[in-house]
Amino acid sequence: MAGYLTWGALGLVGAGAFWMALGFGWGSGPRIGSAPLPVLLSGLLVVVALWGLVETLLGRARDRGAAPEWRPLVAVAAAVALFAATVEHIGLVPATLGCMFAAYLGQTEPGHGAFMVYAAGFAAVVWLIFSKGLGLPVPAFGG
Amino acid sequence: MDNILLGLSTALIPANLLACFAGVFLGTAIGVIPGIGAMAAIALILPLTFSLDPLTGIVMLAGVYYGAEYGGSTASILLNLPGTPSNAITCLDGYPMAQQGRAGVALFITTIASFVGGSIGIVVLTLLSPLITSLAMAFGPAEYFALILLCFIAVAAIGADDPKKNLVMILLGGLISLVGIDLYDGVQRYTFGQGQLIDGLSLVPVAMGLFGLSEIILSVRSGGARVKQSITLRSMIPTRDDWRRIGFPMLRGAGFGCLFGPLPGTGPTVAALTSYAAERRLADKPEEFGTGRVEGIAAPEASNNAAVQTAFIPTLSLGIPGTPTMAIMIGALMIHGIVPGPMLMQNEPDLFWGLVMSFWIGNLLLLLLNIPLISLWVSLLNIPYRLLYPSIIVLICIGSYSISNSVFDVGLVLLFGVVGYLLRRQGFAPAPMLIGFVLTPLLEENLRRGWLMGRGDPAYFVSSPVAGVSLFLCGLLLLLPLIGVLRRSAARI
Repeated sequence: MAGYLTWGALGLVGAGAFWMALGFGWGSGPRIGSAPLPVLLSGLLVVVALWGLVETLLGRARDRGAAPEWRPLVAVAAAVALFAATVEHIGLVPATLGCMFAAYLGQTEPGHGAFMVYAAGFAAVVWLIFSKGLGLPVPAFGG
Repeated sequence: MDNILLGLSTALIPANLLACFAGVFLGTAIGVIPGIGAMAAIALILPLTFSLDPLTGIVMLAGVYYGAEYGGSTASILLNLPGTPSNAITCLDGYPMAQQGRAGVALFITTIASFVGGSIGIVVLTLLSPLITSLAMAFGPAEYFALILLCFIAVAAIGADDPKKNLVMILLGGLISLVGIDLYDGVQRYTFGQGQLIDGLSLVPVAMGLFGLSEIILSVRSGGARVKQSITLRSMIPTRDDWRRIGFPMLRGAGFGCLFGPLPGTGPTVAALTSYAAERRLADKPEEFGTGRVEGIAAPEASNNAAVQTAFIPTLSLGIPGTPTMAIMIGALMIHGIVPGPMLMQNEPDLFWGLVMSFWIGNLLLLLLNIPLISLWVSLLNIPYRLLYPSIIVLICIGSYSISNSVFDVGLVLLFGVVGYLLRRQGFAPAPMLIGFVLTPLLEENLRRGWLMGRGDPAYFVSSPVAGVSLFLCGLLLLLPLIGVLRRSAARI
């Protein structure tokens, strides 16, 4: 199933890019415009994606791949999103802590207490190195 | 000789020496962590170099590169988890040696072989670069177009289980490289009306997402291995028999590294695999390979380190990267305002030769640092991965934020990280995407210039021997898999 979805999504991306590229301008005479290369690349992408889709449908795909592991994926993605959403509003230290805690939820081993102590220490080191040392214009706390 | 002295005088400036040391140290430390390869290491450190002088920044990044290649072997030997793809082959004999209580010897041989391979690679780089540069001075758009196309096709075709997947990644990389305003026509391509996309996508968030973040998502569940033995300096000394057996394999390995390093689409991984296969074929008891033979470590480690150095030949002389890691190095050079290519050696000899000489210093530092520091790298592997990976994610976020102090770049890291992870689970390698991302703008520029110079005549692109031979090789690389398919079909009939 994941194979169909991947090749199908790639084909759709290619088709979208191809359709948009048709409007970029072709140039004239010996002057090549903005369209030819993206048209070529996206057109090839559609062809190869269709080829992959057909191979998957016929059961001839060499590598069937594996389904995503959702827990680490969601935790890590949430961690980065949380950092992006908070760093300019609540400061570097809380954004770092939020990011680390969200990422930590991606695994299932015990030892949360030790992690909290470690995360607090790491957030302080991050602030010292990046804000104080390298001049990153983000305060420790607050926007 | 003057060039070498000029390079030494530049490389020995305290700031450059310090950068080399920091790069080698950080690169080894990151390379030791399983799964975090040289690409991710360079992407992570790249933002730290923005405030440095261009040469100092590049010296640091080069140190990170060969430090990570070296560090990757530590995890291969101790945990059977390769730190970088080119170290995967070291697992085969390194891990059995560790199981036999000879981890120290395996790590020592890795250090010596890396130094020998790296040194031979630097000699070849020093001798060949001026020759290639002088040839490249006569190159025009036709030659560059053909060489870049060859690089694309080689990356897609060589060493891939499924070339179709590599091709898709190159095409995707090419398409995202076109995002932004076209400087020739002033047309906005794939910007969706977003002001932040007008200048195009920056290399750093793309690389950090594709290699750093996606790698971490993949390794969250598998990075919890532990080292069970302590390494003392005494336990690292090889026996006389070990010394006798590693001499020629190291030299042969370095030879393979020098051969594959500059070739497009191959690089350290193919070099290491080939040298291992060659040693196995030459051995009196090939069946013992995979059970802890020292030659099985010495040859691939010398090979991948020689390839790391010689990969800089096309990168610096032509401005064309043969490997994805070199693509990111080219991006880093450009971010620092340095345009790699034949004019670099002529216009900025202090920078070119300073960088080459810093490779010597970096290799020497690897040797001097890593023998006493092996126990430090081993203790790094003992830090639970559940503590380590959230910290790395924070460093990725801060690194991408610091590019332009904007959360937009952090969002891009997230996008490329998630897409990279999903594609990797389906067997798509992210490296060709980066090659496509870095080289497509160069391909388009040379295609346009060549078309203009040839007044719209396609024959212009095969008008010189270099362009003609490169395009012929492109055709050959495309045809070879097809011939294989036809042969198999004929055999079935």
